[in-house]
Amino acid sequence: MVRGLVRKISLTWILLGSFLLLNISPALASTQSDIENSLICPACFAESMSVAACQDSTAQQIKEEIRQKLALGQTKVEIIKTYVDQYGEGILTSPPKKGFNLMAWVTPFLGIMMGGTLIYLALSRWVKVPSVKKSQAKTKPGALDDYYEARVEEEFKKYL
Amino acid sequence: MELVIGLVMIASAIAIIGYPLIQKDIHNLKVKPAKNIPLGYEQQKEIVMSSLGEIEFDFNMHKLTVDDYQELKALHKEKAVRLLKDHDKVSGVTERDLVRKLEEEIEADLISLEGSDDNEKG
Amino acid sequence: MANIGTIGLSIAFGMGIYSVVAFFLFNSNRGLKYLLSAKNAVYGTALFTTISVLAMLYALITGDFSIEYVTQYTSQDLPAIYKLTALWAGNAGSLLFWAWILVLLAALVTVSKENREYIPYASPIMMVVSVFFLFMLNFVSQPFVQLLSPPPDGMGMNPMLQNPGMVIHPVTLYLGYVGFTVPFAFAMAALIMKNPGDQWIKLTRKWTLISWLFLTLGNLFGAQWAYVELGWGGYWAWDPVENASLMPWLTGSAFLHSVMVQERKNMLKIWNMVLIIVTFGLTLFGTFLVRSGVVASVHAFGNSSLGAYFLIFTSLIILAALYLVADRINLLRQGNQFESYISKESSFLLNNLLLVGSAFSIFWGTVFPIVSEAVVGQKIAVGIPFFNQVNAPIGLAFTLLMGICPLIAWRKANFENIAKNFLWPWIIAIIGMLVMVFIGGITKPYALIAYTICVFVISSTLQDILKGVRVRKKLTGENLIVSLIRLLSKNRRRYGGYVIHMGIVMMIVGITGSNVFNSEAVKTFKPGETAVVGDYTISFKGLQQTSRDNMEVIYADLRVIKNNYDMGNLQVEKVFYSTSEQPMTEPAIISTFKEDFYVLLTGWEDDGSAIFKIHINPQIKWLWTGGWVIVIGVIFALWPGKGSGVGSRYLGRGEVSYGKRVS
Repeated sequence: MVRGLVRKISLTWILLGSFLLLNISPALASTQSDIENSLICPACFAESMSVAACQDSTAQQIKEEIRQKLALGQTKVEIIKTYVDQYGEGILTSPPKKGFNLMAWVTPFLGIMMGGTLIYLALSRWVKVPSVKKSQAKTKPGALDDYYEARVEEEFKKYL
Repeated sequence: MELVIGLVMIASAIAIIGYPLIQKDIHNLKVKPAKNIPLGYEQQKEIVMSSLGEIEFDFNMHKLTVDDYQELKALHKEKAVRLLKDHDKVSGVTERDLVRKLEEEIEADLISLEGSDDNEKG
Repeated sequence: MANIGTIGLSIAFGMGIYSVVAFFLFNSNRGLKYLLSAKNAVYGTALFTTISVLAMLYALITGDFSIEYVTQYTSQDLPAIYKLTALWAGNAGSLLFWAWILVLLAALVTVSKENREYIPYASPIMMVVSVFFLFMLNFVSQPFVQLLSPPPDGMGMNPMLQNPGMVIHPVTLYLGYVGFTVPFAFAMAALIMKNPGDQWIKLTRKWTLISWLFLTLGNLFGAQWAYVELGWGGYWAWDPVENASLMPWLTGSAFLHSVMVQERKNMLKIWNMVLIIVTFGLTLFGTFLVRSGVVASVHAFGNSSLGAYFLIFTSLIILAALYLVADRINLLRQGNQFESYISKESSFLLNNLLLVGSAFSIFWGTVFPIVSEAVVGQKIAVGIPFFNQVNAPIGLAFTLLMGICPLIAWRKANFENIAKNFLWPWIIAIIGMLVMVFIGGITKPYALIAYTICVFVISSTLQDILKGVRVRKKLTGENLIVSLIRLLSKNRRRYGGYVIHMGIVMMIVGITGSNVFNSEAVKTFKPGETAVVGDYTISFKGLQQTSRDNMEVIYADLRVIKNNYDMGNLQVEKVFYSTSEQPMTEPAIISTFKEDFYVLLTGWEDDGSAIFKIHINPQIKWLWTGGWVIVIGVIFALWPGKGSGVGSRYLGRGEVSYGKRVS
């Protein structure tokens, strides 16, 4: 019974913890760099370098455009949308969370969950709470047991 | 020039691998696969004793419960005792010797105790 | 020189093949002479590869432009140190360098007395891998191809590669990659010899740990190089090639932990085999990514047919290894049992789940463009936001685990004890969180959670050490200092691990700070103007021009004052290399533990005013410092002597297994 309880508690704990962790994602410091990181520099499709990382003139120009658009009060979503309309979804550094691309986002966590289940199943096979009695009363009591026990108590400290 | 160096290189390569082949050979020698070789007394003792040490340590660190501690401790103490006993048997220390030795020690202790008592009195 | 190099490589290739054959003959009982000859062949392979490498280095240094490789990657005005590093600047050269490290390692392993029993099986496996590389060098990507009409000067090295990072980053990374061949070879040897105990793990422990260290450093040096050279203020772009070096690091870390369960409890044998095979496979997969051009990457060596060879070889060797595992699966069956759901053993399983899960998510993200193209015909990029979002929670979870696991006992733990042991670390962590919110003014939830977890890990680790000292003192009666020193030095593996954990925590702090709190500004300065950015007051005197070695430099001296404290002059440069059209923007950085002040000269106007981009990147220094802490931890754990071996192992109810002890 205790075992079942422990199992339940640990499962709930792990589930709760993982939901909590799933919900936090690092928001970058500024909207500016957030947008720059979400777009590939149109001149560097071959290396799929983001606007933020790219140093050439096209990237500089786009950075400036983003800055102006932000100053005009456009939101992150709006700005990204203008670029997607212009260049297609290929300009995004991350696949949008819809359609087949959803696979990209879901699979890692599915994998971890499956791994977790596997570990859980393996543990429930491996965990055997042994009966306490078995190992005792094997040795016959000898006259010198006390002496040896004292010696063990003394000697193990040398190995500490 | 490079041709000469190249030839020298090839020649030395052949020499390096060929030399052992023309030596006198030891036939049918096979490196034994390393199966578990029984450990010596000292090593066994080290394992058992450091296990005991670790149990004691973990218990004192509050990482083991009292029940687990007692159970583990009893188990490993028994192993340690058996190991010491077996070793004593092999090295020819009999129980009688030990008992005599113990008695001597106790007597010596008593004498020194009396001595210290005398000192205190004096 | 070219001819000597070519001959050296062909001889090395031949000897490599011969050594594999001779080892086989010895193993099929044809006599000792074949073993001796095979060993000599291993040494010979190393020797002749070394000769080729020396020939290449000589050609690079003296500027022998009759060799195509030398003209492609060097020029006469290239500084000498970069002429040497040109050895790994190109495809063929870097393969040569890789092969060289590999054969040297093979020779080192073969010569070692300690490995005697394993050599007949482990050495030929290493040689099979070497032979593959030597095959590539001889037939696919020859470094010593000669030009019929040598040009007077070479094309020079890509300016981005002319950085101290070029000296250290590839070397450390390659050492890390190649090093994992050793545990892989020993694992396979153990299977072939039907000796699946933990002997192979113990024999290769130092190799594994050192390879892991080099992989860590290789990644960090790469990040640092990107940070100081690429000029975008960041250090990690989740480029496929960066991912390729992070994946084996993650699985390698998982391996380092899970082997402890095998050493202790004689369990997880199959899993450890799989982990080392995967790790080794990933090191080769990285090479495949770099050289195949299948994914878009800034690191790519350019398109070449090499990718196909790597893919085939990697698949073959992985399949062979897995077949071997499947064939010997009966030998790898578990011996022991777990006594409880909560124990250090099971916490290691969780750690493995997260590390391997993280590696899997990175793998998936890296290959997803290929998958997407194949399935829906749309080539889509998977970049920074994806990897950050997916890996941030996983990363935090395993940081948290780093704080929890040390407090859990082997074999059997219970909630009551764990709760008791966690009380103080949690109190400290929560106090820390409150301090951060109310005094530090940090309100971003991600940063807050990350820092709180870091405080928790540090305090729980310190608590464990302090408690350990106290308990040792009580048990042995030593005084405080003696018991501290003995506790640490007699359990070097455990406490070395703690030090490494502290290094990782520092890195997490750096990663969090630099990602969450970075800010940037663009400012145009007229000569003589002063401006304030954050805590910094910057004054600009004017642009100057100078020339150095093979470059023209436009630079500005900026005087930086922070909170009335003079930080000195910063020289910000734009460098025009003679061999390249695009100028390089060299940032200038003032680095403190609080934050990095990072300035770039992005351009200038006719009136002499200059445009600067200024990044404030908090806490990046923690990331690099964490790397050095890890070095200290690894050295501490590996320092030869008594405490570095495996500790005791108290097993379950079964007999104490007296496996062979190697320490």
